Amino acid sequence: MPGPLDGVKVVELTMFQQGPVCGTKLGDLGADVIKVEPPTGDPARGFMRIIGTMVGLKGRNYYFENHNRNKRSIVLDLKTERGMEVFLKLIDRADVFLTNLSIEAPIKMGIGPEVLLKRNPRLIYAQASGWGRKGPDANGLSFDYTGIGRSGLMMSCGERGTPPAQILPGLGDELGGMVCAWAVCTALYAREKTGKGQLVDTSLMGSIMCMLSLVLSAPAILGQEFPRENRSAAGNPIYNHYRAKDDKWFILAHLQPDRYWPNVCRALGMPELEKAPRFNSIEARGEHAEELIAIMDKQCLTKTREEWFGIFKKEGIIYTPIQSPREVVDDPQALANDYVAWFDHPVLGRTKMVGFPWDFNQTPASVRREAPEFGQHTEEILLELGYTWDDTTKLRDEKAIL
Amino acid sequence: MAGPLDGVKVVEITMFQQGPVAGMRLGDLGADVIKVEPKTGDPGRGMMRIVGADTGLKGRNYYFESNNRNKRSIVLDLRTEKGLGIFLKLIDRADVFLTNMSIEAPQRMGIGPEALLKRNPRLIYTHASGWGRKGPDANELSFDYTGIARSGTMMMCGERGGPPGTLIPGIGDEHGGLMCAWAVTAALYARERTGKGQLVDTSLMGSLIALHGVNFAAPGVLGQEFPRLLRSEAGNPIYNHYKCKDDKWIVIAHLQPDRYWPNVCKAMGIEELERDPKFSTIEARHDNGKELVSILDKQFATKTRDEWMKIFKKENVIHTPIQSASEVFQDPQALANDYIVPVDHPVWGKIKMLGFPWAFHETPASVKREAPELGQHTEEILLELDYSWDDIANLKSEEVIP
Repeated sequence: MPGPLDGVKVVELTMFQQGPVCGTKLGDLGADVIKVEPPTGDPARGFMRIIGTMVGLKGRNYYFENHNRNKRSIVLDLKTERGMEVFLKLIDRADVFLTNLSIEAPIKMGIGPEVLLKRNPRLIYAQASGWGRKGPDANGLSFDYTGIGRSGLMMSCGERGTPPAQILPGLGDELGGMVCAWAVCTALYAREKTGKGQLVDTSLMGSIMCMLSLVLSAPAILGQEFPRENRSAAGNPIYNHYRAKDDKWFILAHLQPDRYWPNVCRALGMPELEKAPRFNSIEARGEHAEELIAIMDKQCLTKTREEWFGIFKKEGIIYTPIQSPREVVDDPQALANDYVAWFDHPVLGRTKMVGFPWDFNQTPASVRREAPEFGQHTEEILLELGYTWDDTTKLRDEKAIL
Repeated sequence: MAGPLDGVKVVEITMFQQGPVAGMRLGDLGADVIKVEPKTGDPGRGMMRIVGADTGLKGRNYYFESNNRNKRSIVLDLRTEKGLGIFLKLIDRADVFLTNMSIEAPQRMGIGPEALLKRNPRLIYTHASGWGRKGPDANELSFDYTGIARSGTMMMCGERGGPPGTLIPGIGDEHGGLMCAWAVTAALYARERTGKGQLVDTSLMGSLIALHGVNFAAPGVLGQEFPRLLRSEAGNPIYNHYKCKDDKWIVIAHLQPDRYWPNVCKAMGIEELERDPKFSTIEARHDNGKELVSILDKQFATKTRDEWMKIFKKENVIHTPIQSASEVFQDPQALANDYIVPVDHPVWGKIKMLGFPWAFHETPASVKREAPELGQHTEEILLELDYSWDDIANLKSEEVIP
């Protein structure tokens, strides 16, 4: 069965992560995605050297691979007249144009929203920028890091009173790409009703703020912040995380704490506390939280996480492991639902990739092809546009293509 | 202009956050969203008492408010035959049914996917669960906290070697809601061509794994993790964050570090280091990262953040402030792009709320109504279903509605 966006043609001019992620997700949903690259390629093809990490792995890098599956690559020099002509032919047949260039860049290149929407009024012109189209910093440069810094994420993580939290890079761009892909789906639906395409803007900043909606609602509505958390003084000690003997961490998550308190006492081997007035109600545990957490910290260190889970299951405790990324990709629950999926890669062999956050029972998402080699599909795409092999040779002579 | 989902009818049975957020975002996009609540109401209405935070503010709580704008509320007792009958009438006219109950719950209530899709084959039946429909833990309880723990988020925040990062609650559910609303739009688009509705599953776990796509690509493809970061030993010290004299933090973000290194040296008053072989290349700065970070730490502590930002602007250094939630709310860039919007609330008066992560230039999103009081629209919705005032009086006396 084809995916929900089967038949949708996407042309993207993207680089690094936010834009490429958007295109990949549209591809996951069934769209035909053509990545137009300059003769120097998407700089992400060399990303691992930039951040000083070795990837090796048979000449592919996982950063590029993750963001560019389900696409074909055509190399065009848009600074040549013929290169631009081919690009515009692609646009004339496209449903979606997608870019994460800076707001001004496409306008300077002569492919701004006005120009392309005039050529193709049914086009969805989607631009995933750093800071949005309006405002004082619309043209400011941005990266994942600047987005998560400015939009509040680093200050929403980490303990109260400590420096901003370290966050593994990439989360902001990933989210920005998904929110942009969502906007494209929505605009495609609207086009079914109105018959018209439109310009759709999303940004790193807007996307991260959207995820922090609840956190940001406190200052918005109440004029005060929801304070950062503090594990050792959690207001509800049985909705908190603890370390086991083997240095693995787990969570206890009881939002009906009075109901579960006896179970917790029994499971953790501290039945004497069940009726202790210092701890036997929501309010009492809140007031003596530091003392209770210190007691629980000690108890938790007496057994491994596996041992605790055996006991918790028996005693009806709500718990979950705090997993590292490596544990997550091996989690049977993640595999059963295709959140992580196996994929036969022509170069890497049988490998796991992040799968899909949605499960459509009639129009499933799929990984149909790996990330393309640089310009792998240039000729194939030109032939689809009606160019002959002779034309292709000429285009190459004129350096419009590689 | 109407929103892109203008005319789409959504019926939701949701509680707390993940499901309500999905419905709210569909409402932002223009859908007509009816929240069906039991007589006891969505427990999210009492959330602030559960977490022990004071909300006060005229009987409304910002948690519920943030997750339920753009909806109408009808109270129905689905355990009564007539209550269920009204619910099914709503389903017969709906485009989307949305729930975040546990996987089994709707089946037990007789409103599982098979039952509802048989009645209304054009229905998009959307279920945002904790762990997905398949796998060993499909029926387990889950909350925001269990999702962010098991899906790796806490292990991607915080410093290398440190405990799992503590997060402000709500991010996971918020994100799960966004992914679910996105799935709905894709399924609506697919229905335009296939004529058929379908079952669509999303989950907290799957959504968070997708969010961290690039960080799972490392263990998935390479079999090894991208290590957590350590600020004091950043591999690229000019892609790092620093504390200023006034205890405010700032990010500098150079992914073309050799190009920008002279600018950084000049801006920070360390010109003597520009040609120092210990620091003058990507590799050298990586090898001597710790030393350089500590030099930069000292320099940053000599001026306030505002002073640095002025200098950086002049010297073309890529930077951004690390903002708290309150600061984000004052950010002119966020206001200019409607990431934050002013709302006239009937109880609170003029407030700011989170706006929208997308800007549709032809079919804009909007906040049309505040979160509903419990059952505020019961009568209005029954009248739309062609019940008469007499019928409504009977339903009340039979306690089908309050």
